[in-house]
Amino acid sequence: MGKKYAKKGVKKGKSPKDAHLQKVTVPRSIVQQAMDFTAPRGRLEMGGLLVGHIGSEGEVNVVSGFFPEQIRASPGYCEFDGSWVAIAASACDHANTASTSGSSPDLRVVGWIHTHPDLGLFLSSIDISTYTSLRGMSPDSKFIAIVVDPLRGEDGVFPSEHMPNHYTRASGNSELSEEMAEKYNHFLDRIQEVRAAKGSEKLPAVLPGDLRLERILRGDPDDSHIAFKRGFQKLKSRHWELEDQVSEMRLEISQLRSSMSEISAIRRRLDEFLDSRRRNYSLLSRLIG
Amino acid sequence: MREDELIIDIEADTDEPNEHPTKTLVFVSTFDPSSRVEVIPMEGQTVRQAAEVSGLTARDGSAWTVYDSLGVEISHMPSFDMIGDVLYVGPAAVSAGDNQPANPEGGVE
Repeated sequence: MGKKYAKKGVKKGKSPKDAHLQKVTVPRSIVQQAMDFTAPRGRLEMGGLLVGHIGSEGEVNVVSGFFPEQIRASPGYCEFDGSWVAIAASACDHANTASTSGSSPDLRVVGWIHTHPDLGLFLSSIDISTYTSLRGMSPDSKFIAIVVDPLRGEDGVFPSEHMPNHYTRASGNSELSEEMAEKYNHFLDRIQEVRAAKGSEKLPAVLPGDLRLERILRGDPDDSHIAFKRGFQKLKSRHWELEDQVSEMRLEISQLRSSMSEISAIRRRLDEFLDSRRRNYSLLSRLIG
Repeated sequence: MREDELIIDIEADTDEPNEHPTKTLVFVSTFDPSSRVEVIPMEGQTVRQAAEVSGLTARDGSAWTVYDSLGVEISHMPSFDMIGDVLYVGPAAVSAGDNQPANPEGGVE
């Protein structure tokens, strides 16, 4: 009996905050692709959607996602149109019905990702409000938020809107059965069709996660790599521009130095002249006096 | 019995169709396509008004709207015009911002 009481004494109950925490699996590939794509944007924030499925233990599995065109983007704010959530849901619907497997979990929009360039990882008051609203629209509240800081190379998976500073890092890989991989390929095919119809400026980046190589082989553009490469070239070009500016400034400095030494020489001669005039003046004063 | 097995009941009086003719709007949650609610539209009602009874709208009062499968907003359309269509109920926009933490206490797990 005593043992039983002792056990009861150490049993931990779930706090109201813990009850909101969700089990989450996010592969590293997703956050890396998000960082590679958004880093060249500098301090402009960007938001996107995450697609995945709910596992057998109720865990949220993030597998892919995309970044749509932003209605507004600044160093402290970003916003995209809600129609993209419907487009993602419709593409999930298509994948779920097109797939031959009836027993595997359905694909759905499972999260929201946005960047905090050089700001670090946290949820701001607007982020909490959005997270609360989106999670509230999810019938079973299975919905997570990811924040990436592409300039500091940091990422955080936030399992609850009630704990704005509580996050874990994305780790591991997506473990997909053949049927699930087929479903995700149906989803990504549909998303690429949407992009072909609407244009790349409307849907600038698709994040295939661990299906990246397979998607490249199927003919998809490697958005993250392309953006990263473009960003690198842009940086390289900016580097050369700065080198040119530094060379010009060096030339100007050496010209200024030579002008300064000329001015110093003139000043020295002027001082000598003034000294000699002063001496002459004092000599003349003594002679007159 | 296999799912694809065809059963013919020779004693049946009539041939009843398996599915009723569609006279409803099918509202789907943008966050869970398996959450579907059929709503019978009423005369003069907009799609948004029909969606309000679906229970799929934002619980916290934040802005929501209704889209078709191509992402076109159709909440202002007469609900009768959309009978038989699958419509998605979702947020009007998704925003993030403010460069200050809501709570200064921090920590990575």
